[in-house]
Amino acid sequence: MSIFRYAAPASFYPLAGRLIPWFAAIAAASILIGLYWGFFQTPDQLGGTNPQKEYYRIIFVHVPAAWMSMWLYLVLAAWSAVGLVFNTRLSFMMARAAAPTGAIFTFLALWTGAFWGRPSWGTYWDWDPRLTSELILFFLYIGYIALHSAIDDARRADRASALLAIVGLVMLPVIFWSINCPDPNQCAALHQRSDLSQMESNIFRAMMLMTFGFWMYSFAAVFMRVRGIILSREAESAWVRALVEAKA
Amino acid sequence: MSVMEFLSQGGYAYFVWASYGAALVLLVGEMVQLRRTHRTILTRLGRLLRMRPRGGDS
Amino acid sequence: MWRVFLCILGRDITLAMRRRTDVLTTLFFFVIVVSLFPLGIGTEKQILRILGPGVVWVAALLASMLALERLFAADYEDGTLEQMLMTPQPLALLVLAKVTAHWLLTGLPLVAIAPLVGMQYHLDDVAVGTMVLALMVGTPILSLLGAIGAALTLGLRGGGILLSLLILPLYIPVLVYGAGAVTVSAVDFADTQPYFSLLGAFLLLALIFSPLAAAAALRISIE
Repeated sequence: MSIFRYAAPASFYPLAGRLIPWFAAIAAASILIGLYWGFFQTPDQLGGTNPQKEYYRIIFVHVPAAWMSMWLYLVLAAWSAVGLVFNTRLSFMMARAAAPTGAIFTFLALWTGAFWGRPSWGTYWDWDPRLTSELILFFLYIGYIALHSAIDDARRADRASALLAIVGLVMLPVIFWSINCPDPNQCAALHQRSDLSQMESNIFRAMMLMTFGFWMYSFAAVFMRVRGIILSREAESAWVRALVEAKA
Repeated sequence: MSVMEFLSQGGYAYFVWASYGAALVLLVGEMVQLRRTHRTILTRLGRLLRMRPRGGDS
Repeated sequence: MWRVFLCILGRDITLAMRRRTDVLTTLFFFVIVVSLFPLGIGTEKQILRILGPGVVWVAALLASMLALERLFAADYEDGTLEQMLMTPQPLALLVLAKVTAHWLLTGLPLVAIAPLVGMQYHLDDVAVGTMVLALMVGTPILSLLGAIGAALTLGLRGGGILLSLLILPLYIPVLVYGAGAVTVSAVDFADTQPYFSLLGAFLLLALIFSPLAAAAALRISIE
């Protein structure tokens, strides 16, 4: 018996149920500490070459949300690949469960990006490469969810959307690159950079705490969703019946 | 630092709180929605079970 | 192997030639979309010249999108596709043949009509030539990538609209460099070379990988 035991939905369901409160608690704690640090232990201005006033504090939700949006797409594609290769049902369920949370973080990154862009660039929306890439990522999430929910047969839905996720993952670097450098004759000039090491250390600390909090939050949310998926998929099995009877 | 000063965020309250408000609404909303879905699934399965009792042993 | 490819290609083209309106519908969709833009944004020559490349490419994207829905649908409905899955020949090759036929019937007419459309937008001769070339390299990529989406959405209700949701984001690189080449050619034709290199590289990669992906998708959809 190893951790592979938990690849069976029936044994993962209770495990996830036990883990969720922990992830949620750690997430809440680090987000709260991160917020405290971000609002009270940081200077009122972002220094460096690009001085910004108090509105730079949007960074503590914008950057973690953007990172999580990309990370969760990787997670989604990885579980999809595992599912297609090893034909494990739980992997597909994890991929499916990660998608809405990823889409939410993508939307959050776009939303906060708009509210950061208004005071710093003077516009809510700019066709900045990173904003545009985030928008495309949002479309990919929506496409995945739409395809999955359009197919009634669970097995086909799982496998078809898994393939789509992998195709999306292969195409993402190409898409991002084409957005980043629409003119291949002068590519380097367009590339936008930001250097983490130049960041004021308290700002950096708060941002990392928030990122960690969002990551733990993702665990909690994805596990909660995957539990729902397991229940609906295994509705006919004996253990779900026993569980429902015990609850009733 | 007074509460008002904190809330005004140097005059950028609108942008800062619009961002954090959206984060709060989305993340807490997702949690609430997930809990509710979970309970709905359980009650639905319970109802299905009662409608179609296991034959024989009860 | 080659014979199977030609056989499917010939069959698909023959079938399509018996119902020529399908081919013409795609073509006229393209022409109509392109003709509507000047009515919406004004007929100023300068503006049209700037917007032309992008508009033509977006219209080409949409037109090839529309036609994709039918790529596997007819064969799926009458059971031919299931037979194809059981043949000893690699499914990817059959998919490639079908995509080639599809491109000859829907992509190539767009390339042919492009000079006419270029005239509508007052593009100069170099830009029109670049546009024809870029469409020539770019539209097969659209058909190839689209085949994956068409295979995934096979037989689903609302498949067409879903297909566009899945595939249009993947078309972005072709759109960026296809339209970019035309825009740049207005300044200096020599600058378009990297654009064509990139489009050519995409085409090669799509030729290799997308028949495989589409074949896998077909197996998932049909099993």
